[in-house]
Amino acid sequence: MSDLRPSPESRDVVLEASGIDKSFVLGSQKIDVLKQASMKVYRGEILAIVGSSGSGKSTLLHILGLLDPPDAGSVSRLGKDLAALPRRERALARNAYIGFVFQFYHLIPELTAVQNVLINPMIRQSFVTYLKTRRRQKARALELLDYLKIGNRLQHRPPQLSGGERQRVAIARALIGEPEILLCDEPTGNLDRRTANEILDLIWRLNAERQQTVVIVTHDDHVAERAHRVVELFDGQFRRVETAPA
Amino acid sequence: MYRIFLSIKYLSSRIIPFLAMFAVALGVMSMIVVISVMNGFIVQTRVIARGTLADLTVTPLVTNASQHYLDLIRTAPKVKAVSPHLVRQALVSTGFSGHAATTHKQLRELSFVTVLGIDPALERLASDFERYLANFEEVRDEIGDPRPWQVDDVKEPFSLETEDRRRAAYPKVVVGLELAKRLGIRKGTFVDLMTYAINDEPGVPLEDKFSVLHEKFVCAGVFRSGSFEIDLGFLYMPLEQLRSFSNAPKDDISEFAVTLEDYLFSDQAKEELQELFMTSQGATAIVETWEDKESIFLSAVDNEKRIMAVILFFFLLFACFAIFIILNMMVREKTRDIGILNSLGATFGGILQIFVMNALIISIVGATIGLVGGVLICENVNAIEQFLKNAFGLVIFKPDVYAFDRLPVDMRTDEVVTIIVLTIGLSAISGLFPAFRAARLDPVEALRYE
Ligand SMILES: Nc1ncnc2c1ncn2[C@@H]1O[C@H](COP(=O)(O)OP(=O)(O)OP(=O)(O)O)[C@@H](O)[C@H]1O
Ligand SMILES: [Mg+2]
Repeated sequence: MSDLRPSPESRDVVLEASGIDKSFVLGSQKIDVLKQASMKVYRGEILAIVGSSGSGKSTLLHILGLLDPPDAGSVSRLGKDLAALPRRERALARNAYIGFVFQFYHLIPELTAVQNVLINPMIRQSFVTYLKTRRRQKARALELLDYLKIGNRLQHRPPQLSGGERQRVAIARALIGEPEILLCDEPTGNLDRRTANEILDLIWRLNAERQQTVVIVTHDDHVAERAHRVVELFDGQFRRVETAPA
Repeated sequence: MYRIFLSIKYLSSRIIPFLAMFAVALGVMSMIVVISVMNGFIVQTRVIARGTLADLTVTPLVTNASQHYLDLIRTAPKVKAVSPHLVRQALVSTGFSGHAATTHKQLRELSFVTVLGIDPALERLASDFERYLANFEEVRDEIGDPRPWQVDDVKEPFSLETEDRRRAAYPKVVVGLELAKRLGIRKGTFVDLMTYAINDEPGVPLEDKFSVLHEKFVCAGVFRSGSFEIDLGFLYMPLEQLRSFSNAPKDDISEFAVTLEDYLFSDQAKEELQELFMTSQGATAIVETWEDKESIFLSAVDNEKRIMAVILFFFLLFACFAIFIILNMMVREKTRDIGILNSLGATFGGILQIFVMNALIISIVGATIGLVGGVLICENVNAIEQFLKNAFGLVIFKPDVYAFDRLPVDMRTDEVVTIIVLTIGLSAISGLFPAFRAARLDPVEALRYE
């Protein structure tokens, strides 16, 4: 039995988007970015989303991450449509299940590396709870930063860090919340080849060692090659590029 | 947790919020100081406006009936004491005959005074006069030993023990401290008074109708009420002595000073007295509370305080406007951060609170600094005034302009609390609008914001 690999369909679905419509109105022009797009994210996989620029990859990622509600369709976790929730509950769900990593790192410039990581548990917990668990949270942040090989730049602020270092801090910030799913929007788009590979290695290591589910939007062929599964956004819909060798 | 944490981080990494804090502090401080000093002024001005006015003043309209008036007033309920006054205007000098003037200037100095003829035994029950006679403690460092000024016996203010028979022979007066300082008068100084009399009996030729009267007195001592104007403008002597000096008709009384058991019921007491005079035969009179007599002046002073409060309130509004501007700037500058926080799961309320908290921190810290500064200034206002005068020759407070001898301060807790609450409330409201704008930002737009 153990040598029988489960087919993708029978594996755990972490997040499922179905029938997503999304359009933007610019002046008098209406752009339909997503048209009845559907896709699934399975537990423990690294899914790459590719597509030409402007095809709606970031838009889809924002919808998956509950940042942006779709015009139609659902984003469900365990059969529950999270996209239909009110704004506040979407925010709470986002904090609980989702970790974002952006192309431009998006760290808060006033905070040190550790503080940027700790802001995530601070948002999740009440004032009192946070103060009570502060020591443990800090230890976890340090451990994560260490794991991401940036344990030596803890007290530096983002402007004092290189791009690769900033992205490691951003990944640590996403991971400290132990998200079910890590959504990365071109995480290496702004990095040179070598640094990009280091970051990618980290992400793959996370997947291997911690079974982290990752969705990664990319232009980069290297990423797509390494991913378990690749889907392409084209004309507002997904088409499967390649089944993961698993 | 992140709300307060980020608020503080955002604020402390910028200079402008500190400027806003400073503006709030300045606003609160000046408001506390100015309002408290205004209060002090009002309290003092009431004292001065009141001057030597008794709770109620009864001005008789029928002459030659003073005993009747006295008896009548004494029967009225709520009346504690009554003292008849004869009031005259006079010129005073120490130099008409050059006896006591010590400098050329004093020799030529003339002062216009109101002369009150009183019966000391009745007056001491009806007014603070007796207290004024021994009220030199506060000015000890200015006048030194009060003995050369003070009357020998407050119960018998118009007597003077002296070896000098000439001095002993003259009638005695008591003058105010400021007048004494101006004219160089001490206990025992000769004082010349000049007043007038009008004889309006029919048949008197015009040139004899008006006569100038002139007499020499000896100062038996000095009084100090603390009000510059009273201490400069009033002079006391025994009633009968003033009557003979001013050729007043026998039994002539200018007014009756009435002291009440409790001034709270002054209006009621006034009505009862009016009633009494209406029903009694041959004794009509005007009855006024001291506030009636000074009503316009008092309302003007009250109004002044309100105007000052409004002006200062605009200063506070300005500080709140500064908070509003700063927060708007910060929301713009922090747009991407807001997107980031959204992506991390911050809620609408969370983002709102970050920025409202910014406004609150600015205003609470500012108001606290302002409060401490304001209280410190209020408590040391006279020391500060003295210091400025000594160090820079800066005269802020002129006693002769304001008619009291020190800067009065009356800090009231309720007003201070109102100022603080108002400041913090207004700042919170000023912060609310930018905070709402921040919280309502579309997270995706915010993340795209460059
Ligand atoms: N807020 C918006 N208002 C108007 N149009 C928008 C908005 N957001 C996205 N779009 C449009 O939607 C389309 C998809 O944008 P999106 O950013 O998702 O593309 P993308 O696939 O991520 O492109 P890239 O690879 O360049 O990042 C684009 O044509 C873009 O102009
Ligand atoms: Mg994109």
